[in-house]
Amino acid sequence: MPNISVPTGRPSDEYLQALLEAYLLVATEPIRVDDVSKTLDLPSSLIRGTFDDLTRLYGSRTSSGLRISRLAGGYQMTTRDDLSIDVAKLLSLPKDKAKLSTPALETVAVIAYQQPATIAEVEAIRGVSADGVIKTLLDRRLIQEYGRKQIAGRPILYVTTPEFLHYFGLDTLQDLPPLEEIEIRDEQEAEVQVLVAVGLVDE
Amino acid sequence: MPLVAVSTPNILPPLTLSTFEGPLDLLLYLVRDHRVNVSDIPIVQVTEQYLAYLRAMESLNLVIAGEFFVIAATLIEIKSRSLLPRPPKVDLDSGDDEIDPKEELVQRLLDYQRYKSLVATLSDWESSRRRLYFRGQADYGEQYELPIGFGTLSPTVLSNALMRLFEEAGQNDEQEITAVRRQKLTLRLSMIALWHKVRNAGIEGIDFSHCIPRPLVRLEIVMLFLGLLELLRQSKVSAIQIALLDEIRVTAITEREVEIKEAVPTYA
Repeated sequence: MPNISVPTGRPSDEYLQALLEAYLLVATEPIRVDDVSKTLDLPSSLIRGTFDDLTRLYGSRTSSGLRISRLAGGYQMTTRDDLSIDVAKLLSLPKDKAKLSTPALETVAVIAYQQPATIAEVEAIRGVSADGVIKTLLDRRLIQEYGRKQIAGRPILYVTTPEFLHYFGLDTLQDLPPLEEIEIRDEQEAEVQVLVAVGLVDE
Repeated sequence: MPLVAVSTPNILPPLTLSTFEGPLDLLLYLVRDHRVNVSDIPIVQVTEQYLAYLRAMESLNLVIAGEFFVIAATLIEIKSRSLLPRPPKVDLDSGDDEIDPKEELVQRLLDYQRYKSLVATLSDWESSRRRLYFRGQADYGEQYELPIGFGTLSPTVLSNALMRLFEEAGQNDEQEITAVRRQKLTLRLSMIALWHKVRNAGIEGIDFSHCIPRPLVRLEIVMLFLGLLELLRQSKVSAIQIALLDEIRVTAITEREVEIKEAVPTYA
């Protein structure tokens, strides 16, 4: 490469892109734009733009097994998703192991939308005890404690973690659809039925 | 709304508790099931079925969560209201802030259903994210943990975690006493241990430092060295040290099995 050393001022676009690619290779966690921006003392818009260029570049390489994904607020180099089965063979990772149970998914969903939320608030929505599930989610670091609610009993508040975003392949919490917009799957008519059943709507 | 005689439901939902996550789930099941045999006053029948289900659970001695009864009470309230003649709707929305239990229940059911729908989405996301692999994956396995960011944890968090560990450890409060036994360590035993090492090393001999068991214990080193001196004195081994503080090369003088005995009083 012609212009390796950049003593002062702004590095060339080519250099920056090469550098960020190198960062992506060595990092084992998503790289945050702000961190790079601080490290290199460059505007975050430039860093973000370069990362996006790289993302597009990798995305266009049909014979490459690598992609760049936006996960948990950062950029991370990942394998291409259609290679998963054979990649897992090398890593000898069991596939479909230890997926979250339905109660765990329900609970983490409630916390994601209501955060910070107490156990009682989660239980009010789900109608069942959530103690055990909360422990599982804490153990898997999908949620964490976030102080205590200033009401009687000072119950512990819970919020989701960056691991939660990473686990579900999300970049930020804004990637979650607004609750009101969630369509009730397979149960469109059930909604009507509820209304009818409790006499709010006449058939 | 016409009044009808409530028929007891002939078919109960399957009594496997795992089928239902909770009272709301059960209620949803009943409501959905209802579509099949539409009747005049659904809420009455749903309530009856719900209560029948609770009774069945009771007769099977299943522990019923209090929340089931809360919903039951709500249903009964809605049911009794629906059976009473309604007052003519004249005094409309005049400051009557009473919450309609019906509306509240419906809202809860709808919210609950939304979350249940979201579960399907989350499950999809979970699967598709798992098709991506990244560096460090093998180390993390499925339980991927992001490194903790610098400065995100305070000393308080650490001390809290420690306190919690102590609390958990002290759960069965039988003050556990660990007995540390005094180790038997005599000159004779040290001599035997050293002799076996040296003899097994054969004609090559062995470095004294390689004869000392790990982890290093001061007393054991001292005893082993005394053992070496005693073996030397008894002409069973030879020891060569080329320079000061260098390795001591110990070689057996005789190949034969010899009786190891100490000629001096025990040190330990």
